[in-house]
Parts: sequence; C-alpha cells; structure tokens
Amino acid sequence: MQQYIIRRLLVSIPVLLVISMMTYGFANLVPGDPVSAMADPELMTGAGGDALRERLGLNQPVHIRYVIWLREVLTGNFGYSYHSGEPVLKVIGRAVLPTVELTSVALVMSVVLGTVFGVVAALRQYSLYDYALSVAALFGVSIPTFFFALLALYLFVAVWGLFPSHGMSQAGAEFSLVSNLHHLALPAVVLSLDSMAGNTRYARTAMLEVMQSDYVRTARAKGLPEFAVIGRHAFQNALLPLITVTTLRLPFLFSGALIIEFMFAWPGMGRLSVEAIYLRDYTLLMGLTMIITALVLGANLLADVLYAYADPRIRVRG
Amino acid sequence: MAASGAAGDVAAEVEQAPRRGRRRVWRRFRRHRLALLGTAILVVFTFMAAFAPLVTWHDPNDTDIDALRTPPSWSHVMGTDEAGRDQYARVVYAGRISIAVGLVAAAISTIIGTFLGIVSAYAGGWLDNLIQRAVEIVMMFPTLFALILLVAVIGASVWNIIFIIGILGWPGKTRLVRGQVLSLKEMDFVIGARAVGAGHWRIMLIHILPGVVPYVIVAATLTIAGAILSEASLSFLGLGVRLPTATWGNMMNAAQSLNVLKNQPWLWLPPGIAISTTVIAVNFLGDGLRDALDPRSTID
Amino acid sequence: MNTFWKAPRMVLVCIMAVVAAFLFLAACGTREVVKEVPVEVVVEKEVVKTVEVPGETVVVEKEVVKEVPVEVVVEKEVVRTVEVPGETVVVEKEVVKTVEVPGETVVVEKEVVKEVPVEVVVEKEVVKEVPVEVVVEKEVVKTVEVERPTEEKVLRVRMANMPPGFNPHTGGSGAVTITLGWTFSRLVQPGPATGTWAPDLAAGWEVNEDATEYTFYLQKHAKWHDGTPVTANDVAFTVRSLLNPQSAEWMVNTYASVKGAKAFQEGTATDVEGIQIVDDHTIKLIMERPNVTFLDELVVVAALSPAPILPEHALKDIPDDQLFEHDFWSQGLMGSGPFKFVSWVPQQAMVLEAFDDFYFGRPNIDRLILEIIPSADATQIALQRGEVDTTVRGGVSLAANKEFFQDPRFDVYGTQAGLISSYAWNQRIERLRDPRIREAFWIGVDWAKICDRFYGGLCNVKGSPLFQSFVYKPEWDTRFAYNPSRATSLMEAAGYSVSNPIDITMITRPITNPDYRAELAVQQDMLGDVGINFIVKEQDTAAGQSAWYDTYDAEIISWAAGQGSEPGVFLLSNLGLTGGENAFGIHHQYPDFYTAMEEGAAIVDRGERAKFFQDFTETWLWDILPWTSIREAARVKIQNNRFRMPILGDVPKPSRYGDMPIYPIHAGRDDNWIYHMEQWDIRQ
Repeated sequence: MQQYIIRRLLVSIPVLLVISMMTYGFANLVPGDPVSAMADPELMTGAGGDALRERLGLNQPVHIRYVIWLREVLTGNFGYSYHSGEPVLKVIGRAVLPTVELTSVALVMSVVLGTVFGVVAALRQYSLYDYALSVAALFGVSIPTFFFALLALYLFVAVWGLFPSHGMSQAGAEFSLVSNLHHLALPAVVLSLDSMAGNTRYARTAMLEVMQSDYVRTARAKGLPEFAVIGRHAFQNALLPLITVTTLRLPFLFSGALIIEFMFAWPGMGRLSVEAIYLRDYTLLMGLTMIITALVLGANLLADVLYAYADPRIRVRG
Repeated sequence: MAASGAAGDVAAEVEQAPRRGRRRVWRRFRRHRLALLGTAILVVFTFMAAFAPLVTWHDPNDTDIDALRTPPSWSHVMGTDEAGRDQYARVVYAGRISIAVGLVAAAISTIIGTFLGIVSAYAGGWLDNLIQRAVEIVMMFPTLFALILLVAVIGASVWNIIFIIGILGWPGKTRLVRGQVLSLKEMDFVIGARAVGAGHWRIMLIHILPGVVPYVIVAATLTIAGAILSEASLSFLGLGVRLPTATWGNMMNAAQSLNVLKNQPWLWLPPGIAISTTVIAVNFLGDGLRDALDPRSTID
Repeated sequence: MNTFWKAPRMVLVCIMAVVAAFLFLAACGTREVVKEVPVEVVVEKEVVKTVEVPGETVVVEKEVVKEVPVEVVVEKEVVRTVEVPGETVVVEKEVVKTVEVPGETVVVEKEVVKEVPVEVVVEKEVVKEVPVEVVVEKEVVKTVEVERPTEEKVLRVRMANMPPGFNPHTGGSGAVTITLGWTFSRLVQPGPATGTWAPDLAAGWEVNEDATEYTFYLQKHAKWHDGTPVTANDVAFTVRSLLNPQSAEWMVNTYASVKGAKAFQEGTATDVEGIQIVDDHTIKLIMERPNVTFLDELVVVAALSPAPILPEHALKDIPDDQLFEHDFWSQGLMGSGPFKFVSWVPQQAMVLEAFDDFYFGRPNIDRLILEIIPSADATQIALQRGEVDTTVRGGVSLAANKEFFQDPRFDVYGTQAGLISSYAWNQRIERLRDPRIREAFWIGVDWAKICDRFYGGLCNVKGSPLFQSFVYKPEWDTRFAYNPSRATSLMEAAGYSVSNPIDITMITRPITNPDYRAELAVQQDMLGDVGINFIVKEQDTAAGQSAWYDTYDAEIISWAAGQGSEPGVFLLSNLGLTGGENAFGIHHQYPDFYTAMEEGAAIVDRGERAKFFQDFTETWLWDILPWTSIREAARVKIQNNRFRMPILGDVPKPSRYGDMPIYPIHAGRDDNWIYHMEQWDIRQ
C-alpha cells in the first residue's frame, strides 16, 4: 500500500507540470493582459500602461515568464495578485473554506439523498414511486441551475422571507455559526439538486443490476431475511459505483460552484477563478489551478485508499 | 469501476446477442412505452427544428420595438420576448442550436471517451498510463473554468461551443468504459477469441464494445442534458452563442429576472419546457435502450 | 416483503429530515427586517434664568434638563480662546453634553455660549458668582417625544463587483475610487449641485492670473485616521508617488501638468520641480504651461473620481518598487476622509466606521458597510427586505426600477450619467473610412425609441460628446435623428445595400443584462434594414482593451467615458495623445484636428472656450465622426428612504416613471457618492 501511495504521488508530478503549462499557455493565449484588464469594465478608456507592464514584468515572452513562475513556485513563492497586490496563497486561502463548506454540504446531501431515492426507485421498479422519482430527478438535471437559484430566491426569500438573500453571514457583524448556516441552507440545497438527480439515476441503475446478480440470488436462496439481503449484500455492492461517481466530482469540491456563488453572493473559488480569468491575473490563476489540482489529486488518492479498504475484491488482489 | 460478476454476465450474453438477432432488441425496446414516447418527442422536436421555416410564421430575429414582452395573442401564440420577437418562432429555431449542441457534443465526448477507454484498458502498459494521466489532467480542470478559458481563446461560435463542450466531457466516460473493459478482457470469450487469433481491433470492436454499450448509453444520455445546460451556463456568463441567435439556454437566461418570473411566464415556460422535455425524452430513450440491450432485463 | 414498505418510509423520513432542518434553519436565523423603533418619551425641562444685574451686563443662562432614564451624562467642556486681529478677545465656551445610554450615544447637545466681554472679564465661575439681585426664573416644561434609536446608524450599500484592489496607482475601476473616496480625502471635491469644485482637504485655493500657479490652503484640523495631522508634505508625497514610474501609476496623467513632472517620470530629475511647500498647510503647484483646467485633471480619468491624498508617514518607508504589493492597500487602508477603514473581505464586504476627527465634523452615520452582491435579482430582494439600503454600482432591471418607483418606501431618482455612451470607430480599417457609413450607422437606428423603451425614457440622444452644459447646444440633439431612408441612400452611395450588406463587428464586454441584449438585437435588426450586418462580439474588458488600444484590430467598440467638466480635457485625454498612440486611427489622417484641439483647450476665457468647441463640434467632429450613436442615459438610483443624502433634498415622486428627477453631476458619474459624506444620515 505504501509503495502504491508513493508511486501515485510520483506520477502526479508530471500531471501537475502539464496542467500548469496548459493553464499558463491558455491564459496567455487569451487576448489582453493584467494591465489592459485594469480599466473600468464600464468604460473603454485607458491607453498606455507600458510603464506598468514593464514594472510587472509583462514585457517578457510567455515561456520566460512561465519559467520564472515555476522557479518561484518551487521555492514556495506563489507570487502576488496583479490587482490587489496580495499574496496569492492568502487570496486563495480566504476562498477555500467557504467553498468547501458550500460544496461539501451540497455533495453529501446529494449523495445521501440521491442514493436513498435511487435505491427505493430500484426496489420498487415500475411503481409510482419509481416514475415519480425518475421524473423528479430528470427535472432536476434538465433545469439550468441559475433558474433554480432564481426560483429559490423568489420563493424562499422574496415571498416567504425565510432566508437572507445574500452572503455567507451577516456583513459587519461578528461571525456566528447560526447565521452562517442560515445563509448556507438555500444555496447548498439548490446546489445539491443538480447532482442529486444524477446520483438518483446512478444509484437506481446500480441497484437494479446488483439485485439481479448471483450473490443476491444466492443470499435469497439461503433464506436470509429480505432486509439482510438488501441491506448487506445488495446495497453495499451498489454503493461502489456511486463512490466512483462521487470521486469524479471531487474537483467540484474545491473549484466551487460559480453560478450558485454568483446568485447567492457566496464568496468562493468559482467567482475568484472567473475574476482571475477576466482580470488576466496570471499569478492568481496559476495559484488557483495548482492548489485546486493538488487538493483534488490528494482527495483522489485518499478516495482510492479508502476504496481499497471498502472493496473486498480489491483488497484480495492487493 | 470494480470488476463484478454481473458485468461478466452482461458481456457473455451480449456476445450472444447478435446471434439472437436485432429483432429481439427492437421487440424489447418497443415494449418500453416511455422509451417510445421519448423517441416520439425527440422525432417531433427534431423535425420541427429542421423544418422550422415551415412550422413558424415569424422570423425569429425580427424585432418589434413597439411590442416588447406582449402576452400571447393570435399572431404571437407564445407572446413576444424582451425585444419584441415572436417567442414561438424563437423556441422552434432555438431547438436547432440546442439539439445540435446536445447531440453533437454528447456524440463527440462519447466517441472519444469510449474509444480511449477501450484502448486504455485493452492495451494496458504505458498507453494505459498515458491515457489515464490525460484523463486526470482534463478532469482536474473545473468544467466551467475550462469552458470560459477556451471560449475566450477560440471565440464563441456555435460550432466552437459544441466542440469545447464535447472535448471536455470525455474523461468520465473513459474511466467508466475502462473499468468495464478491464473485467471484460479477462472473460473466457475474449481470451478464446485471442487464442483463435483474432486481431486486436476486431476483439475490441466485436467482442468488447457491445459489452460496454449499455453503460455508455446511460452516461451519454446524461451528457446530452449536460451539454444543453453547459451552453445555458455560458449564456448566463455572457459567453454563449452570439447575438441574435436563439438557444433554449439563452432564452432561459433572458428570462432570468424576478419580474419576468412573476409577471411574464410566457418568456420562461416555453424554453424551460422545451429543455426539460428534451432531456426527459432523451433519458427515457436511454433507459429503453439500456433495458433492450441488457440481456438480463426482466421485460422479456 | 416487510422491507419493501420500509423503504419508501425511509424516503419520507429523509425528506422530512431535510425539510425539518431547512425549516429549523429558516426559523432560527430569521432576521428582523423592519426594525421596531421603541418610542420613548423624554421629558425635557427648560429652565431659563434671566439674571438682571444693575448696569449693563445681562447674563442669560439657559439650562436644559433632560430626563432620560438609565443614562450617563458626560459633560465635556471646551473653552476656546480665539484671538481675532484687533484687540477684542472672544472667549467661546462650548459645552458638549453627551448623553450615553448604555451602548450608544443618543443625544448630543451642544451649547455654545459666546461671551464678549465689554467691561468685565467673564469666566464661567464669574457668571455664577454675580450677585443676584433680581432673579426672574421662568420655567418652561416641554414634553418632547424623542425616538430613541435602538442601535447605531448603519448604512448598507450594495456594489455588484468587487474592486480588485484599492491601490490608486493601478486601480482604474470606478468601484475602487468610490470606496477610496470614503476613506481618503481629495484636494477638492466635485460639487454636483453647484457644477463647480468644492473645498475638501483644500479649504480654499487660489489660481494666479495666467493659470500657472495653484495654491492650496489645507484644512488646519485635518488628521489622518491614526491621529497624525495632514500637512502639505503629504500632498507633495502624493504627487511624487503618483508620478513615480517605480510605483507604476497606470494612468500617469493625474499630475502630469505639474512643472517638471516629465523629467521626474523619466528619471532625469530627482524631484518634481513644480511642487512648492509654502508652510505646513499651504502648498503651491506650478504648472508647466498656463493651465485653466488643472482641477479637472486631478480627476483620475478612468475612474472619474478625484485622486486621493496619501499619507506620507505611513508609506514613505516602503521602497517604491514594493509599494504595489504592500498590504496597506488591502488591509491597512488609512486616509483622512470621513470613514475609517475597519475591514475588507474580498467578495464579501468592506466595513467602515465614522472618523471622529474628520475636518468637516464627525459623520452622522456610524458605520458604512459595503456589500458585494453580484446578482441583480438578489439585490432587488435585498433592497425590498431592507437588507441593503441602496446600490452604488450596478443597478437592477428596468422592470424592477419601475416597481421600486411605485413603492413608497424607496426614493427613486436619476443622476446624470456623466458618461458618454457611444460606438467608437477604428478608422485604420480601410472599409470603415467612408464617413457616409458611419453616418448611416448612426441615423439608421431609432435611438429615441430605444431610449424610451429600454431606458424608460431616461435617456437622450446627443449630437456631440461635449456634454458640458456651457458648450452643448440643445439643437444638436436632432442632428442625427432616425432617418432610415437617408441611411439607405447613404449606404447605397457607399456601395452597400440590404442584399449586399457590409459586415461591421462591434466588441463589447460579456452582456449579462437581458435588457441590453434585447436592445442590441433591435439595433441589429434596424441596421440590417439599411444594409449593415451588425455583428456583436462579446469579449471581456481586457480583450476589448487590448484589441482597441494595443493591436488595433477592433472595428468598433462599445465606448464609454466620463464627460468631465472641460471639453478640452475630455478630447485630449480620450483621443489618445497623452496615452501615446491614437486608437481611433485619425491621428495621421487629420493632424490639424489635433492642433485645433490643443489650441482650444488653452483658451483661458470660458465663454470663448465654449464658442470654440461649439464650432469644433459642427466642423471637425461631425466630419470625422470618431464616435457615433452618442447618447446619455441617466443612472437610476434606488434608495431606501430612511437613508438621507442632503444634496438630494426631498426626492419628489412624480406619477410617471420618465418624469423622475434627474440630479446633475459635476465631474463624473456618482459624484454624489463622494460629496460631503459626513452629512449623510439615517432616519431612525
């Protein structure tokens, strides 16, 4: 196992390198640079800025800047944002926590509820439950998130006044967990709907498949009570593909949910990333990509290790 | 994806499927009423989109500044939009773009994903390693992030957007397919085929591909929905298909306002229903296909 | 079988659990939206004591006793001795009574007794010791109902996008300068109501005869937020800092007219020659050449807001080349303006606090909270629920504006945009050189109708970008009125028709506002009818800027700029001579145009200047048409009417949306947002 982890870590080095090169390359292919992004977005005034370009080192060719950036990163210096002048790590650090708070709650909610709905739909295939859940799930995948968010804002905030309209806590007040959770509820639920629908379908498919497999048939034949058959044999096995699907969603955990962040004014990585692209804040953009990638690689590795412990067959194979 | 006995069954039976004839698949598909309904809806929508000029009587881009957001009437059956254009004509014409985005992008990602997944698992070794790293790399990029960056680089025409959405969707399918193939290739019939001296491409195409089709179809149907919605997200950011072309996504986005939500349902209901219906129809079709192709299906 | 009925129940339990959690959260955190203001009756007793002393001295003593339950009365006595030239000595006694109810300051009573001694030297004690001979005591008991505020006065302001940073050297965004305007002070401030510059950090200023010397007299009591006095050195430091290429100001023209600025920028001089510190509170800036518009140049052109004065003592030890990255700009902002910086969490909120020692007096508002809310819909709800009081940058939809207009809880008014919205043409491109195409493009669109339908009538089509009221002629409005038949014939003369249209591509930033998308679709449709295939390409600001200013491959761009208060300043700064290369591509074609512009800007007499630029519009600008489709749309502001901005007075509410009051501005958009902020108030 240890060897496996070490090998995986070694393999991730070229992955990180290629990702950094691609991001740097693409970001620089987009016309404009940090200085041309400094103009007021409503205006189109602002010629000049060559002095500033020189000062920021933007007059160097792309590959040289990349090498400089890489060298600095290897010494642990992620640089400063071109716009706020703050250290990149500080900017990112500020956005990571709110992002993970929002996305992890949404992810857990979508996985747990999606699984339950899917399993029930499978157990009662072609029943009213099955159809109702399937149709609901399909509506879930088919409506754009921004529209759901608007609908939620309208009903829960404007009409019923149950939740605050924006932010992650009361601005200017002491941070309080209750206020934070109160702000969190609506965006997290709306965010979870999207992937919950997909999970429901995956869980249903997996469960249907498992229910027809030999070992479930065997378990039934052994005369085990139905509860044990479904609970122990079927459900546990149906869970595995769902875990795989969930690990595929790990990038989302750290990269944030732009549209939800935008609609509910949640301060997260999604908005930060888009700002970084629009403002051509190369250092921030690179920092974001690297941090997100590293986190995802780590999370994937962790998931695989856990998976190995969870799945008896993989364990046997060693 | 873990290897399982179930997958072996699928493969074994699918292997026999061609011998039993396609007729059987069709028979089972036909029994799946929802799948038939889905197919019918898709056919109607595609037909309407393809022959849009015949089924509408307004130019979708013809504005009327004196009739903004008018409610449905005899001449404008779904009312007019925020620029005074006929909403019905726009929904129909928007179908052209949205259906194309959904189908083509899903096709691109599914073909690339399936191909690489099979090759990766079948070949193993350094090729497998390389493909898996590529999968990781593409998957690391948060989708919307990558979409914005790519659109900014190559511009926002319809085909560019289709291409970008398609090109970002394959890694998930590659993984899915690879997992299936890893177990399939240890099956007796594949080993047997190899022993008989069948070529690699032949084994992959004839013996392995059918085994992964049921899984791929379910994934692909969800991708269609994803692609249509990705286009909508791009519209939301102002990076979608260029003005004045209508898509269901940018029509939904144009209706994205509290006052419209409250007062002008004819602006968001038609495109919303169009998207939902299409997605649901595609999924029913996918379910039907899966059940029909899956030999263990109980409908028989 | 028994588990089969359990399973659906599991679903129900799950749903119920989620709903319960949801409702619990909804219930536990529900925030009161409308604050109940408990009304407290305060009995005020006024005792007027008239002490009559034989002879001439009459001392009138007035004593006001307020009975407010649970309070601590802190009395501060300030005795000021002011020496006025001449021999009269005025002793001013100021008694400030602060009634503190646990928690917050409630009633501030200020009593100023001026005693001009004629015969007797009056001291406080003396007054009381005057032998009382006849005391007429009149007791007036007044009962006043005072609404006791339950909490501090907090103003919540929404802004759509987060300012990327607060460094005035690089911050081109208007959002930055508004926020900087709250914490920093400027030499002068725009007087939106008066149309001239008003005193700010400079209590007064003088310009010499030929407009080569500007002398600023700084506020004597001005202090930085850390208590250090503001001196002329700070102003000198600011000028140097903004001119210093090492600190890399993006728009290097703010103080570019000061004598020696160029040499200093280029590194051939170690100091700016034109800075003369007269004394601690007087600074003289000498111009390179006669310059009547220097005050207007103090406005950061891109941001349309006067440049802030920076604290020398806080910044001087930072090496020039590290100034940019210093965390002064993100977490340590310190100015001398009305509000003190408390905290800034990007993407969320900035918190500011009233500065007690502000030179115009402590602001009425105790805390100013700037919240970043990108979505217009969330903003609309937040306004309706009273979660924010107003929005400063980024509005809501026209339909929402109209809804707020009907709502008595809100003041809805317009301000002059201060912005010229137009399309700018790149005449480098051969195809677009024919002026007939530009004119046809302009008159081929029914702008008046677009203004009416998409801006609720709060928009004007203009015939010239020189909007300044002393220059602009009202009859210009109709010079480019909608005339499709003339547009068609112009296009035909240029060789294009509906069947053989010309492709013209415009670059604009990504449009998220559906109303604007609709407006553009209407323009496309109208232009299609005169033979122009109008293509709209959405690119972000950086790409658009780069295509326009760096690579010159943009055909036309959606162009907006602040009008400023001087036509010459506007033209010179926007047609690109100061910025180096000329993006419009007319520099080499019309060299005379540029010499004429410079001559006009140098005319000292305002009337003559106006006349000159009127002729300039009708000859040069209408021939060359660097901009077409010029219009000015008012900015609609929505304010919860508990928020009072004195400059607005009582905002009238006419019956028609299009008749709402439009307030003038002076230098740029949102002038009223940086004008005497200490006077803002919240009605409790």
